[in-house]
Amino acid sequence: MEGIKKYYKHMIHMRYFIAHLVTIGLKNQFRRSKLGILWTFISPLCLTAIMGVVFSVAFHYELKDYLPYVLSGILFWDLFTKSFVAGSSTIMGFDSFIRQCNHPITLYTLSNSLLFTSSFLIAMIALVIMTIFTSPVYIVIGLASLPLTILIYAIFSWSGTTISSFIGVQFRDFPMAATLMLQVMWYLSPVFLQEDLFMKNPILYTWFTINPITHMLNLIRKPFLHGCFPSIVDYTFSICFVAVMAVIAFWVNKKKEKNAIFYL
Amino acid sequence: METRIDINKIDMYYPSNIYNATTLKQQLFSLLKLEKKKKELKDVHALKGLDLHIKAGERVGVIGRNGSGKSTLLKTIAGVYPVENGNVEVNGQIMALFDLVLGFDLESTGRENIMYRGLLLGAHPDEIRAKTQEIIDFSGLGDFIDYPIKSYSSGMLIRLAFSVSTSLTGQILLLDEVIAAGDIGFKKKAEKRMMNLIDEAEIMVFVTHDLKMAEDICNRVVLLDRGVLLDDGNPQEVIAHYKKIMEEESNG
Repeated sequence: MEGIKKYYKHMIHMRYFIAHLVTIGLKNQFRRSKLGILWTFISPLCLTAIMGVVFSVAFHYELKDYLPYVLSGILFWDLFTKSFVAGSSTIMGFDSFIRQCNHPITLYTLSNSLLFTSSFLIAMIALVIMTIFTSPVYIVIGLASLPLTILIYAIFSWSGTTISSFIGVQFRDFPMAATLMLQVMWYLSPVFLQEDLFMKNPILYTWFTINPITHMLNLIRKPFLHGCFPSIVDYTFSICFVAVMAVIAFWVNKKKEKNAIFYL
Repeated sequence: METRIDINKIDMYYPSNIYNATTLKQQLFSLLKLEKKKKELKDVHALKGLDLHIKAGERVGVIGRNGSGKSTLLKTIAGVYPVENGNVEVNGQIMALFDLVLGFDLESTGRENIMYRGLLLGAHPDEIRAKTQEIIDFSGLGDFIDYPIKSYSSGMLIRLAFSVSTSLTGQILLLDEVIAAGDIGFKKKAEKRMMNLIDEAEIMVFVTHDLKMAEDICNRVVLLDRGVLLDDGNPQEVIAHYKKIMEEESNG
């Protein structure tokens, strides 16, 4: 118990360093770039425009409905992939600090996941702007539901970053394998494909309903795209999924933190 | 609570599994006898049953040949390396000066890196802000402080690293070789500052190959050999013991 208390005291003492790592991370992403942080939402907007045009032609989707659908999917997916793929190099990325100072490794996984979540939050401006143009009345519900959604996403990002960073430092093939697996999930989740496509096959539809990504996506889609709060089912699925991920992350961190330095 | 370090019969190993890892190609080729099977490396037993107790006021020099476990001991005290058996108890705030230039953000300016480094060492932002001008003045970097540090020469980088790291104090000072940096002018300034830091610290543990320096600044010296504590005591006697071993070895 004393050890745990000491551990969290150490983390609280280092809060300014964590905040600084997040700030430096955001700055370094766009250092010397002309558009700077604007890229955080220009990039998903452009991708949305391309996908919107292509898929609205291919699947005859209504562009007005499909554009916010794809944009919300891309924003969440970016957070998802960053947590699992970019997050996997967290320990290796901070190796010079880990070799010098006895700080908890959670400090680095937490700062990276906060960086990913902050980028997601900035990118959400694009969805807010789009909603103002497409369905301005949904904005209030959208913004009201956002704090809890962000909290769930942040815990999800920390869990993903922690799990993947410990696997990544031990198995250097992990980022490649994770990219491949996430590519499969991209096609198996309603990131850009709409529900009607999954309904054509009963197995796919069952998968659609139990896939936690469907419900995680609904946390932003229902308020911003439909003007209603996410359902109890969406919250239950999302919170349970994130809780399981967090428990695994805690366990992995506890088991692996001490010896992580030997893999650097 | 009194500042002290208690190292109680510790064993520390560097696990070899990461160096024994083979690629799929190596496994396949060795299976087909196209390649010799990679020699299996054993875990390195870096510190063997080490027992050491250091109390306030002691200036401990750690000497021994390369690979004897000196730096490992220092990093184990700092809590960077975990121990297998025994335990390390440290009472007091540690200030570790190991690889000073490691961990700087090359894209950030010197000024930004002062904050970065200071926060890494556990200082409060206000404390760093209050010391920033003094750090800049000591480093002598002038206007270069607002340039990204990737434009710095190695000498400039070490000046900055030294200035930031030594601007903060701790009750327990861990030193891996005394860092003397930069040109002659700066070196003199740096040595003076280092001595002040040593004087201010309640405990100093200093790893060195400079036996003269160990004799001058330490009041206790420990001799390590292959992870074992071979001798511990008066600097002159321990250093003489070490010299004798090295002499015997060089005479065959």
